[in-house]
Amino acid sequence: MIAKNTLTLMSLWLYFILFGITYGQRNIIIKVGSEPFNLNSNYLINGVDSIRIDLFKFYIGNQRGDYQLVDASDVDTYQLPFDDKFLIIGMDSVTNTSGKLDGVFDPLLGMYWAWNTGYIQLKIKGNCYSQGFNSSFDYHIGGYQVPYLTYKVVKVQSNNAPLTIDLKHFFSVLPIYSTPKIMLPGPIAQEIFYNFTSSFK
Amino acid sequence: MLIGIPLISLMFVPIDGLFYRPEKWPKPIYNFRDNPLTFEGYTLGRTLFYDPILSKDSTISCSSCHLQFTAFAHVDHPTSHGINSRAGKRNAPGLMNLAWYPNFHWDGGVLSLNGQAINPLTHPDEMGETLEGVLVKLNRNEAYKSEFKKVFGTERITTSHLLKALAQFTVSLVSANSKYDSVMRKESSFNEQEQRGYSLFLKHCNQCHTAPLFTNFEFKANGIGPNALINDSGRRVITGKASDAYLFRIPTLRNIEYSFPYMHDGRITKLKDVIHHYANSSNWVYPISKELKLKNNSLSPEDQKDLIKFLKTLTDKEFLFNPSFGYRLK
Repeated sequence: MIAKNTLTLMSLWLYFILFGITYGQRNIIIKVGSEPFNLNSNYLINGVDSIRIDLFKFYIGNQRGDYQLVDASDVDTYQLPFDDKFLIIGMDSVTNTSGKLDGVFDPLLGMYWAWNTGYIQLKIKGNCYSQGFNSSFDYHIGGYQVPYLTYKVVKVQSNNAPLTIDLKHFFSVLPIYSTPKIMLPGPIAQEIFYNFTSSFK
Repeated sequence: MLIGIPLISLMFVPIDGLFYRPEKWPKPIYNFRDNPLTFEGYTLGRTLFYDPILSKDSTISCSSCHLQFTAFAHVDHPTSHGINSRAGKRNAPGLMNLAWYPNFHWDGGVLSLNGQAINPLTHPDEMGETLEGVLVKLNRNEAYKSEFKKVFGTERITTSHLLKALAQFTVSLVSANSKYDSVMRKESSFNEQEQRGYSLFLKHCNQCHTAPLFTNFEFKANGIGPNALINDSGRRVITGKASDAYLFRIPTLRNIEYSFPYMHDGRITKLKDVIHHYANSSNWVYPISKELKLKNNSLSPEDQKDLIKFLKTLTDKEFLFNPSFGYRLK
């Protein structure tokens, strides 16, 4: 009798705990076509090239100013602490320059341009093997000044489903041979950014 | 009555060195709500400013290149120097009245005073440290831990605590008590030569070096031409615009007598040579901003002397020798 009551109480607790944890959150799933995305794995792009990513980080936020830094080396960051229907990829100029330097905005996280104030919105670094050649690339993508903004509002497809990001097309259009390195805002950085935002399904 | 006079003078210059807004000055831009000033925070910032713990090999502090007696500029060094005697590209500017700056550095690339300190801390030619490295050192230091806890209420020192503490000190470096200021407050008067210099200043200089801050914070080319030995295109590095090539911040003229050497690369040592440069358009090298081009009228040698006499009235001895801004014994 007592055991049954305890069990009921425990399941109630469990329910509240689970409910409490899952409320106001949304998970992210990152894929490359049909395969799950992982750092240091090879993916076939454009039918012939093989791409491998060593570092992949980006900011995602909501219209209330909450932000998360998603880092592929830390799957805990795949759980967003908000579940808004409209999400922001990149940052507006106010968030970018407000001088909040803690939490996800801590310059320690390697996403801050100290000498030309602003946050890097997307950092991606890796290698591409093509026809026997190995080319490395390194992109620091950001910018909040007109015309080279990196800011986009995306609408989440369904209320309860996780947010799916498919990088297949994004990988296939990276300018790895023409521009293997970008460290500044500009037209190519902006193009890379918009190609990235089109990965959000 | 007798008690009233010292009380009034205390209102203008707080003896503890904390930030104040001088009478008739514009509203400061610094966000004090985000970093409320306290005496403890200011004192902690002051300790950090003078502590070489912030550099990679504990040899260089902020004060190595920003000395109080030269208005926190770097006397006799054309460009700043860092760990292992490495030289930077630009002249370490004087630090004063920073609460009114819309952005920082000779190129204006830094948009908040809080974020500014990351640059000298992490630049390989300056303090050469990483933020991680500084925080590890500070979090190991019991004295710092307890001081930070007093100011920010937390056990662990973070990036923003470090930067906000430093900013509480640097934002408090207000220089507004030169002879010029006392003349403006009608507490004293210029002599004849200073008065002539002041008239020349208003006619020729005030457009860019606008009172009371003696800069309008814009970026201009003053005709000294690019430095042949240092590749530095100034404002263009930040904006990417070709039209911004070789533009640098208009610096303040406050305490100019002491903040030599002059120009963004410290290439001119004597104030009279700076004035001579502006007074002789035949010396100017492209690019030249339109404000200067339009002037194009030379100053006689007498005018130049008068102008220098006026510029020396911008020296604020109380600021340069205020013990509250100096090294703090721990």
